[in-house]
Amino acid sequence: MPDPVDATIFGTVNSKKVPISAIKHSDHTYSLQTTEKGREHFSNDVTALGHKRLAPINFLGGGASRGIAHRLSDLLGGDVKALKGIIMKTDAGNDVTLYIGGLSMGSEAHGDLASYPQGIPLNPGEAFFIDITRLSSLYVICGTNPLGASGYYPSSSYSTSVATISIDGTSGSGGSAPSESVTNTNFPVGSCVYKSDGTKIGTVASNSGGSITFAANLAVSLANTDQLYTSQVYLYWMDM
Amino acid sequence: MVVSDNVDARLSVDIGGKTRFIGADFSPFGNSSVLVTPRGRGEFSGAKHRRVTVTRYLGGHGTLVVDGGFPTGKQKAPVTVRTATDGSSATIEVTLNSGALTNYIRDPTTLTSGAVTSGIDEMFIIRVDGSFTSIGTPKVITNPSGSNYNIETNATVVAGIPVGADIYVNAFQPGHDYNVTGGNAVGGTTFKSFTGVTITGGSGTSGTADVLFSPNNSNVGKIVLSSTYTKFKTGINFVEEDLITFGTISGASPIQANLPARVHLQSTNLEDLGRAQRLIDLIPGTTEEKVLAQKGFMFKADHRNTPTIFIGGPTMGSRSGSQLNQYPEGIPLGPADAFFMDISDLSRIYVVADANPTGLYSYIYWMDM
Repeated sequence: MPDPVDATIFGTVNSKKVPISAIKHSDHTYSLQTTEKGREHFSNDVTALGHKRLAPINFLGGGASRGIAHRLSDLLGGDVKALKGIIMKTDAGNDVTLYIGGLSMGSEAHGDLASYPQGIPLNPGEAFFIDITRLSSLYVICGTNPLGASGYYPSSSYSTSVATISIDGTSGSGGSAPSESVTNTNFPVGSCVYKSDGTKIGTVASNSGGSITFAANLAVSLANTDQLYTSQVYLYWMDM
Repeated sequence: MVVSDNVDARLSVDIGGKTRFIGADFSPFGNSSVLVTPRGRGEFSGAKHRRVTVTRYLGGHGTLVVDGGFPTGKQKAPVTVRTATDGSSATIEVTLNSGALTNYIRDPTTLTSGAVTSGIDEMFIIRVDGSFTSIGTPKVITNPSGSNYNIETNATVVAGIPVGADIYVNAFQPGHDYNVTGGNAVGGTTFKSFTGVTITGGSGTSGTADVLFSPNNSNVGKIVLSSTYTKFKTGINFVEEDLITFGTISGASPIQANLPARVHLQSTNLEDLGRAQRLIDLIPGTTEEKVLAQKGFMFKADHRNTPTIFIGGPTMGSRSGSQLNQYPEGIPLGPADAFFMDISDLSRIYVVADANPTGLYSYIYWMDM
């Protein structure tokens, strides 16, 4: 058994060796005195991915397809490695509670998750910091279904080679187009549009009376009987 | 600290001339860790903590600079030379790579009324020294196949233009001859100025401009550039490279239809009100390029704010207003919300409101930590 050796901690300030200070506590214990230092940069992963807000649509009780949690990195389109963790904040206009969790939430079957929600609930406008450093280790699920039926349908069938669709208020042929203000209220720029089963059609880039232009060509083809659904439930995040 | 192998070392510090051992504890996972106590700071960084007013907002992109002049430079058209020129022909063969050719180079023979002996949209190539050389104006444009176009010009095209060379046009193209009966005479000359002319086109929704007509025979003139009399007055939602045309001008009727004057907007004509601002640039009375903090910055929104303010990093700053409107970045701060960010350089923090804050409270308070 080697002899114990006392070791004093030193640091270097302007090339000068200085001892590190300690603090005496009332219970006669001692602790190192430290100073936290901020960062100059966000995570390099963010350079390409950005801090885009996320739009979860799966929900508790959503069945096998939509009752499981989203991995945050899947919603973003790539993983981010943070230094200390991830801070998240829900949109103040959300009309559902979001649950934030870890791998156990991600691996839970939809039935169990519906019975026993896991993680931390975030109501509209609430923020939460979690010291998990990988976005891909975090999961989110909505408390209730965030998709709302718009009452509007494509005016005709559309293939995936177009980005702009005309809409009207009737399933199938016929129907009148909504005004510009109604279109903008139902399909605001930046909102995501889905089919009834949650299949994402695209993100709205612009709109006008009776017409929606997506940021890219349609992700799926549409029939004139496919009612359009939207969600305006968002989760914001930032690496720390 | 240097410790040899197989030697136990306990951390100690000197307090009041006595050696004191640093405490340790067990974590919930069973491993032990050193006790530490974060130290506060003696002083702030020294920067003035003046609140800032956020003026840009999601959806505010593309507003024309009020009283901005028309662009005067050259605009690269999405058109490249298809066959190298040898100086023997007045026709240049080109390929249209995107968009519509008529957005840049118009065929005068397609006019429905009025005679135009040659086109208005003069074409240029750029030399290696950056200067532009004219290759004439179009007389007739034919479309032999697909994206291939042959442009007959008003003169022999210079030799030596290689395949793939870019074609440029003037960012401002005067278009019509107008029959000018109204307007205000300028400076005792026969130049005529008009104010508040309607402009339309591109992705924009509306706007007005002041224009000036050159004198010509029998009151027939063209819109000409003048730093004083041709300028944008108002406009909204236009984007760079938008093609803007001029609407009906009371007192000046077109005598050559389908050949309106137009401009290609360039970055200098647009103030992107939808783009995020560096927070450091909004601090009143300072031109500091950097404010450094120890740990980061605390931000708080005024409780009277109407818009939500988004706070983000350089990726928010690098997005155009149009992009940001589709995909907001950063953390939203509602009225009275506070947020700490552990970025220690204020020049890397950006802000943008979620709605037009003009005339409303849109303050962000900040403090270095």
